[in-house]
Order: sequence, then C-alpha cells, then structure tokens
Amino acid sequence: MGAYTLKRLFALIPVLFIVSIVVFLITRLTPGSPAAIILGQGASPEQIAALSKEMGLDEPVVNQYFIWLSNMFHGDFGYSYFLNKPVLGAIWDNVGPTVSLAILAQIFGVAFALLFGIYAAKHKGTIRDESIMGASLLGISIPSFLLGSFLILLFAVQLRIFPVSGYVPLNTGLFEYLKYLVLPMITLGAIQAALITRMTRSSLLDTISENFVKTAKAKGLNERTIMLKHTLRVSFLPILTVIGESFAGLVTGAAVTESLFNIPGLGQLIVSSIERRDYALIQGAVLLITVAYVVINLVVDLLYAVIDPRVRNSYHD
Amino acid sequence: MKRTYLLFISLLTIVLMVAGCSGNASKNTSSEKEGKEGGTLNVASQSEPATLDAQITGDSDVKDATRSIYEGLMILDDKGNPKPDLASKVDISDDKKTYTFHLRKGVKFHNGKEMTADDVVASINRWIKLSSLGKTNFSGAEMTKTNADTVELHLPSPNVNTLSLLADPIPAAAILPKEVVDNASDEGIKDYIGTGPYKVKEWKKNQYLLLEKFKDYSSKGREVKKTPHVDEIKISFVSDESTRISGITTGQFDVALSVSSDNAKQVEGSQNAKVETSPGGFMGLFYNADKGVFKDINARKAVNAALNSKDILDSSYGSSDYYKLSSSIVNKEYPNYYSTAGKEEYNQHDKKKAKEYLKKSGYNGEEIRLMASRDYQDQYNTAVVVQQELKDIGMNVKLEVYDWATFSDKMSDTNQWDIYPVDWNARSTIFQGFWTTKGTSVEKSMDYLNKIKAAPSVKEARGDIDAIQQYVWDELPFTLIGHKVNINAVSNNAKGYEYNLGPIFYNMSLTK
Repeated sequence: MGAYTLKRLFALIPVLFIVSIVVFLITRLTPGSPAAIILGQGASPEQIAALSKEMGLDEPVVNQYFIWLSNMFHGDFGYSYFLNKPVLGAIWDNVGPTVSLAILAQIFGVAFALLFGIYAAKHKGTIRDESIMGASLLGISIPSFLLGSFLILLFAVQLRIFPVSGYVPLNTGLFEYLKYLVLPMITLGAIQAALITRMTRSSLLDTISENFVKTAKAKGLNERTIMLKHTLRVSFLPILTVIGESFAGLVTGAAVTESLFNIPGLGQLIVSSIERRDYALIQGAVLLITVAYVVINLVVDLLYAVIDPRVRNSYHD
Repeated sequence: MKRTYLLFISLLTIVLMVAGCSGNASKNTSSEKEGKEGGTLNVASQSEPATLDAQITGDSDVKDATRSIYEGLMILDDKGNPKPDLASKVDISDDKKTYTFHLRKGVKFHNGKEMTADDVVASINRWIKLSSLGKTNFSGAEMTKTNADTVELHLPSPNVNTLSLLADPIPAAAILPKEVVDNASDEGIKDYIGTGPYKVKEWKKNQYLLLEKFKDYSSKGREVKKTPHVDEIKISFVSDESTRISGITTGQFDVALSVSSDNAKQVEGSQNAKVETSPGGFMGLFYNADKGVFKDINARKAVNAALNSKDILDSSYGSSDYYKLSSSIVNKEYPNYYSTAGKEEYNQHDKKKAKEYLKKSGYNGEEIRLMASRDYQDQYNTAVVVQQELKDIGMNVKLEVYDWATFSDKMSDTNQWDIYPVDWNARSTIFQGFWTTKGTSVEKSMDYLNKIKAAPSVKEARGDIDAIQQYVWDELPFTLIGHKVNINAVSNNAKGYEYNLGPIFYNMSLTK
C-alpha cells in the first residue's frame, strides 16, 4: 500500500507540470495589464512600463515561465504586488475560512444525508421517501447564489438570527465563529446533502436486496443491527466516493458562497486576483488547489482499503 | 408526476414564507435622534482600492477611502468652489503665474510631526509629476519654498483652474510628509500618512480598511469644516451588491456604497435605511475618430441623431429618479462650468436624419465593433440598447463584451474597437480626460481648453466654456447620453452623510 501511495504521489508531478503550463499561458494570454490595474486610471504609459519591468513582465513569456518554475523549486511562489505580500503568505491567510467552511459544509451534508438517506431507504416508496427525494432534487438543482440569497433574506434580514455576511476567525470564540458560518455552511452543503442522501438511499437499497442481508434477516437478527452493522458498511463504499469527490469540490468550489457571504477565503481570493490580473497569485493558488484536489482524492482511495478488505487485498497484486 | 407535485409544493412554501416575512416591514418614524460621539462607522464598499496613494490614481474607490486620511492646500465647497484648507490664505500675482500659499500653522501629520513648507513643496511637486491632473495641467510648473510658512507655485502660463485642480479629490494633491515622498517610488508611497481627521490603523487586504480618529486633528478656522465624531471608520470590501443591501437593512453596515437603481427601491422600503442620491458623472458613447467608420464625422452624426437617450438611460438606470437628461458635460450643481450650448443636437432620436447622415458618410455595411464591459451593468445595458438603435438605422453592429481589465486594455488600442459606452466620474470643471481618451479628436478641443485656462477668471472664461460645449456637439468626439445619479444607502442610525464628487465620511456620527 505504501508503494501504491508513492506511485500515486509521483503521478502528481506531470499533472502539476501540465497545470502550471496551462495556468501560466492563460494568465499571459488574457488581455489586461496588472501594472495598469495597480496604478489605476490616469497612469502614464511610462509609469506602467516601469512597474511592468519591476514585476518582470517585460521578459519573453517562456523566460517568465522558467523563472517562475525555478523560483518555485526554491520555495518561492512569487509576490503579489496587489496584496503587497508573498503569494504563499496570501494563500495561507485565506486558507482558514475556506477549509472551515468546507469542513462544516461536509459535516452538515453527511449528517443530513445519512439521517435522511437511511430513513428514505427504510421507507422506500412511501410519501416520506418521496418527500425526501423531492427535497434532495431541489437541493441539487438550486444554484448556491439563489439558496444563499434566500437564506440571507429569511434568517439574516427578516428573522435577524444570523449576520448577513463576514467572517471571524475561530480564536475570537467558537460561538461567534459558528454564527457567521451557519448560513454559508448550509448554502455550500446543500448540494452535498442532497447528493449524498440520494447516494445513501440507492446504495442501501442495492445492498438490502443482496443475499447476505436476506440471510441475516432469515437468521432473525433485528433490523437495526442488520442496517447499521451489515448493510451500511457494505453500502458505504460508493457513498464514500461521493463524499470524497464532493469534498474536493467543496474546497475548490466555494467561490460563489464566499463572495456572497463576503468570506475572505481562497475562492474569493482567486476571483479577485483574476479581476486584478494578479498573475503570481492566480498561478500559486490554482496549483495549490490542484494539489489539494488530487491529495483529497488519494486519501479517499486509501480509505477504501480501510473499509473494504477486498480493495485492500488488491493492492498486493 | 408525484415528484413534480412535491417540488411545486416546496417551492410554493418557500415563496409564501418569504412573502409573509416581507409583509411586516413598516416605515420608520423616529429617525430624528441626535448623533453621539464615538463608535465605529461601518461602510460597505463595492471594491477595494488598489493603493492608498491618493496622488497617483484617479480611481474612485481610492478617493472614497483616502478622503478622510489626506488633505490638500485647497478643498472644494459644495458648489465646487475652491477654499483654503491646509493653506490659510492664497495670493495670486497680477500676471496670474505665481500663487503664494500661506500655510496653516500647527497642523500635525499622523506621525506627530508638524507640517512645514518642505513637506508641501515635496508633495505638490510629486503630484505635478505623477498625477494625471498634474501632468496635463501643470507641466513646467514648480512649487518652491519662500520661507517656513509660505510656498509659491510658479506656472509657465496662467491657469484659471489652478485652485480647483489643487482641491480636486481625484487624483488628490495630498500633502504628505517630505520623508514619505522621498521614500516613495513612482509606483506609490509606502507609508500612508496625512493630516486628515482619520489615520490608517489597519489595512487587511481583501477584507477591510480600518481608519482611526486622529486625536491631534483640528479644523479650527477653516471655511470647510471637518468634525470627526466616530472613533473608527471601517470600510469593508463587499463585492456582492445584495450582501451590501442586506447588510444595511440589518444594521451591519451604516453606509452601503454603489447601490443600483434596481435595489434602491428595496432600501427605500426598509425601515432601517434610506437612499441618498447625488449628481453623478455622465454616460458617454466614445467614438474611434482615428480609424474606421467613425473617422467620418457623418457617421458619428448618424449615431448621435439615432440615439434615444431616454430609452437608453431607462434601461441602464431603471427609473428617471436615477438619471438626468442633460446635454451639459458638467452637472447643473456646478454652475461655473454648466453650459447648454449645442443642446439641440442632444437626444434627437430621429431615424430619418440618422439614415441621411449614414448615407453621406459612405457607410457600406462594414462591421462595427461595439465594445462593452459587463462589470458595470449600466455600461453593458447602454451598449445593448445602442446596438439595437444602430441596427435600426442599418448599421451592422457587433457587441463585444469583456471584463473590465480586458476592456481598459483594449480601450488604449484604436485597432481594437469602433465605439464604446463608458461612464465618467463627476467633475466640477471640464476635465481634460474626456478628450485625451484614445481615438477622440484631441487637437481642437485642446485649443479651447487652453483658452479656458488662460482666462483671467472663470466668469471671463464663459464664452470658451460654451464654445467647448458647442464643439462637443458639433464634432462629436463622444455623444453624451446623460448623467447618472449616484445612489448610496445610509442607515437611519447614521448622521452627517455628505456627498461632494463622492461620499464623505469624516463628519458622520452614530445615533446608537
């Protein structure tokens, strides 16, 4: 399994290499000069040229790429002129909110989904099942900006239970921290909850019809034991896939929710750095997110082995 | 079938819940409370300033954020007249080429140092060199020190706008400590130190700018008073407009900037906040008069004759409460530069006449690139209506939509576009920037501008002010579509909001 992990990690190198070229080319091919944006309306061409030079943008693109690449090997991801700090520092400052939000949304999604997914499977075909499935369809289809706006309107503007927007770090107090994150958590976690609910239900129904469950029933085991000990465990593999993939999606896809709730996370950072043509920051953040995406998927794959012995054994081949 | 039915029921429930909740909003009746000292004024701004160097940029978010931090020798009053601010008195020589500024005594910078003539000389000379206003209006001018309390601005030729330009908030002729100027590169200052009523406490990039009341501030003896009440001004950068609006209706923000006309009604219906409107800049349709179809004046006249300003502005600003039909470049609120010359050319929507001009121009169905940016919804909406109106007179117009950074990049290359709508910040004088935009015919307009500058007084420049306004309508370097109205939302808990070429926060106080 160690070899498998290593192999997967090595496979990351070409991926990162290709992503780095693509993101580099996209930034450079997009019109709009970062120097002009930093200097604002009314800057003279001379001022813009001088700043471009200082930023190293007067070099040919290929040179710029290799300079960037070689700097990165030395741990230097570049400098954000707009934020006036190194790229890694800027990313680090914005990781906390995104990870907080993604984890909370995931917890919300999974808890909600397991509860309702199992419930729906148990009551298959009834009005209760249909209602849950209907709601989950709504959860999948509703765009997050719409759901978020609705939650803000209802819980922040009308009922005044939660603040409209903003973010406070955990060290100001757990209650404050959660207060700001509840609505974004639901907004971001809704799709999760809906997806996983449906997956849990269908996976459970598949397993219930298998012979070992029928045998267990015939043996007279009580239904709760069969559900929790046997059925759920086997059904968990496809559920885990959905959870894993969607968690990676949460980390990378929080941009809309972050911008709606004004949370200073990675998504918002990337969106604003694209608007400002903050090349170094776009490149660094996209690379980092690629790594996060691949690593989360790797962890999910490894978790398979922990849950299902058949997968574990296949690594020895 | 069953599933669709459930979906419908759930949607209906949600709609009813929202509708039910909105029903209990009632108008506030008791907002006449007195402002108190202290507290934090929370401002939600659409965008973050790229820099806090007020001298080098004309961006309005920079101006809004820095107006409380820096001061100039002069300041504009609410009629657009320049009044002494850090200067206590100004003498102008008979040949109008030397301005002597007597400096206010005992003014302190945020770092505790007292302002001296050396600081003023260093600051103004930097502004002349780097700011768009300085470069275009004061090339060859120089500020020198006479003695510890007096400085002199020497102009190569008279400029009637000298004091107005020194008072203009964008780019501001901010007075900075000499050492800050000496330490600065051309790309910007590194320390944000001014003499204003608020000083920079923290700038958390991507989140907020926190300003703190400057204890040593005094506007004693000044004609335009600044009286800071709140302890802190926190300007949060909230890009999403609905979030800004929600925040002001719940009291999380005291001021929400850049409210669109669509949302203004929502604010007006809320019990916690009101809408503040103020004269804004103009929406103009700029022609590429250097190359292509619009090199021919008849093609420009065809467009100008075709446009229905009211329809365009209705589409951009929703209701006539939020725009003004006016043919004058400068708003009526600034009477010195307001002019009605050439107004018969404005807002004609005469298709027949337009088609005649088009025929005269020899237009042959060539594709016309109408460039627009969706980042500013009003500009985009304008472009969509303009496209339709030009199609109606037989022009083959293609709409090209870009994000703002790309748009401004393309703007500076006349090979990339034929026509675009853009809205300008409001100005109290006729601003040179309108003509120095790429593609517009500059030369003759410069003659007029130079004549206005050389006039002994604004009053005596009246003829030339009218002439340049007439020139705009005769030669059409751009078509003025109308003036927008700036809409900001202010909470009922906040007092003292003012607007003069942008929002002013330093006199505001809170009632709770």
